[in-house]
Amino acid sequence: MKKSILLFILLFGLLSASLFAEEGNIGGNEEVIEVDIPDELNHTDGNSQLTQTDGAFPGSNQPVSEKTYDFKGKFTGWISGGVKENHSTYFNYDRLQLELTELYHEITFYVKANARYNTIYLNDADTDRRGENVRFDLAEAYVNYEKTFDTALSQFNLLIGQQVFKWGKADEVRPTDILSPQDLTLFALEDRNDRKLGRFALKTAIAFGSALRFEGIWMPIHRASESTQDEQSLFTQKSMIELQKNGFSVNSTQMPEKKLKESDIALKMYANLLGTDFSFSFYNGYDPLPFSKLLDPMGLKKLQPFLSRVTLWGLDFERVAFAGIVVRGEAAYFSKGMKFGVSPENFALYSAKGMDGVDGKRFLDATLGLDKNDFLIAKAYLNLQYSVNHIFDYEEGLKSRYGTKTEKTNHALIWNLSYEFGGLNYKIEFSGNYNFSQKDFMLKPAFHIKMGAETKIILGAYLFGGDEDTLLGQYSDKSFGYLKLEHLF
Amino acid sequence: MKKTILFSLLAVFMGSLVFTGSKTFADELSGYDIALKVKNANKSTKRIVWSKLTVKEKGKVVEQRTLVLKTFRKDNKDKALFRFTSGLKRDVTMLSIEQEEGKDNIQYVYTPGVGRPRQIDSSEKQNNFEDTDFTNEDLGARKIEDYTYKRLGDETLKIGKQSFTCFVVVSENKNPNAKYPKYKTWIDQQSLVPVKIESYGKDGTMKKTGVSAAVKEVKPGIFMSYYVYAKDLETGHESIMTVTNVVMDPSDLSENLFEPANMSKPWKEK
Repeated sequence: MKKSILLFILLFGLLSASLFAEEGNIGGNEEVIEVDIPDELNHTDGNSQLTQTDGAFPGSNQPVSEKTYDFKGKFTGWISGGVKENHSTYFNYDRLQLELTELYHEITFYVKANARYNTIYLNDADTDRRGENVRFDLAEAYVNYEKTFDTALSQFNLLIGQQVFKWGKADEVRPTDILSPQDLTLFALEDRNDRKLGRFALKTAIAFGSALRFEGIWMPIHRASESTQDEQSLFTQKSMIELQKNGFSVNSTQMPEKKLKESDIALKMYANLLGTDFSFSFYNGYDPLPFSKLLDPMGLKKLQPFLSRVTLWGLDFERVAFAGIVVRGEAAYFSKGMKFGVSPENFALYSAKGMDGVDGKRFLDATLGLDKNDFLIAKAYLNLQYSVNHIFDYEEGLKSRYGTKTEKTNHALIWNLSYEFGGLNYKIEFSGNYNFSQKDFMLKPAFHIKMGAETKIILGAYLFGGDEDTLLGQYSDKSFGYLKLEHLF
Repeated sequence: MKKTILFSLLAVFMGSLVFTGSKTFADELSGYDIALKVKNANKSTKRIVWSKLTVKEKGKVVEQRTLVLKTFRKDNKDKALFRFTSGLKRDVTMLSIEQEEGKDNIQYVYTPGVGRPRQIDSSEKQNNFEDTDFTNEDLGARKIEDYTYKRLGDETLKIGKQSFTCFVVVSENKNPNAKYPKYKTWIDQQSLVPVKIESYGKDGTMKKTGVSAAVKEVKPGIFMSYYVYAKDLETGHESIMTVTNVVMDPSDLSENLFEPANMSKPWKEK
């Protein structure tokens, strides 16, 4: 009897095991996974019947999150102190940026305005009042009409109004990105795109699918990049200060005549071929960054900033390469209009060039860069950019457009290395720029701390070095540390 | 047969066809067949999805932000746009364009500070998208031919209040250097929505896990998950995406939007 019972139990056990094994293949054992699903999503009756019979589950086809307008802003505040001997650097700079976007079917209206306050300037001597403590700026205000088609011509855009242009695929140094003037009163304190000033333009773009796009821009109104001229301001070029010490006064920037024939024209063709994004560009117009010439150097001694009409032929490209590396490059060839300084100290050249302190040369400016996410370790980022420029028909003694030292061919390295950690709440960053030809540099270490969903603070420094007749070395006594607050709303 | 695949938790947003074969037929399916069916399932021509993303650090909510996803399907190829609409990553937009067999899908990221879209290399497919626990691959970079597939025994899962009878498929990356060389995926047989996934590292241990739940039929024959959860087991970092709204076949969603040049365009969807 006992044997029978044992045999029965054994057989039952084997049968059960066999059945369970078979059921396992068709979903017999149910694993329960606990998840914290919001109640409004968790209203099904518990079986696997997923089909909704009433179509009434929440959040379906209810366009409650659409807005025809969007208002947003960004506040940036800096407090800074010098780290060099005379501590001449001490400033507060605040910037409030407001953006409004309105969508009306095929028309988009966009406005971006800035209000800035800074204590950098003591600029009573600045004839252009470039350095006032409080200033308002309408960076962009345009209407964009867009029409799309289900034909070979897939898209047409027409933009009219105050616009900012971002040309080029490189990063901080973008040789073809010269269409928009910049606010350089704070040098490179802000990112390149934040420094840009708007200008009135009519822009049209037509696209033929994703492979080909053309862009044409007409800019009848000119606007110059702005920089400081007085000695008290932090980033005034040393060459300008020296000239003023030698008795020169600085005129207001000489702008082109207000005539249609002085309009600027820009054309660009974007294409994608074999996985490479590239574009060809052409610009015939005034370089917004003023050059300076000497007027009556023996008599009235005037320094005259002016805009020069340039002809630019550009090329840029970007493509994924290997091992997670993306390569991008950009080149701008100035066939006309690029000017260089000629110092009176080099009197032979100075007198040969007409004694106005400038000379025109053909010029090539190019950069090749790469970046890599998860560089060596996760969440590390590396961006390297090699920059080279070449002055054709170079003559010994030429100065750069900024009045600083230059060679026939100049090489520089720009880098950004960062690492995010602590759940991406912290980022340590080391970026900089070293010029191999002039041996001047700018180092920018920074530590980012995320304070909340929309807020972060950055603790960092700008450290300049090199000879005082070089672009970055001229600020070597003005290195500073800073605390920056950034808040989005 | 050799089409690309969005064999991931998020890819359920992009489906269209529904597999409703008999159990007998289902039993005959190989791992590859199932992967292919998932790739082709739950597709819609056009879709917009609003989501709320919650990021947790050591169990504590560190950030919440909103995300809008737009998809467009043409000639059996998907295009997808993801945009953060709040937080410090506001307006960061990702574009994924599916390519034909043998070619990696193309992905771009647009960051307002940079001011233009940047390409992402295919070898970064298994990197996380921004600071989420979702990889670029999850967001559309995965290709069906990147993996080999092996079907295991079916299993039943109960996630939240829903029970799912699942195919279980192990997919192994053909690239031995992949960050996550192996995935184990549970796919609901009725909806073909992947409802659980485990990601394994090179050392064979599980590195990430995720579930999708609250699976609903948003249009006859088209299912999607309203709740997606992913956790990095090494860091404890968690991402939870909750769908707040879905609009199917919006009339004003144009294919032109899915171009790199249009990634910076303002959207009315917030």
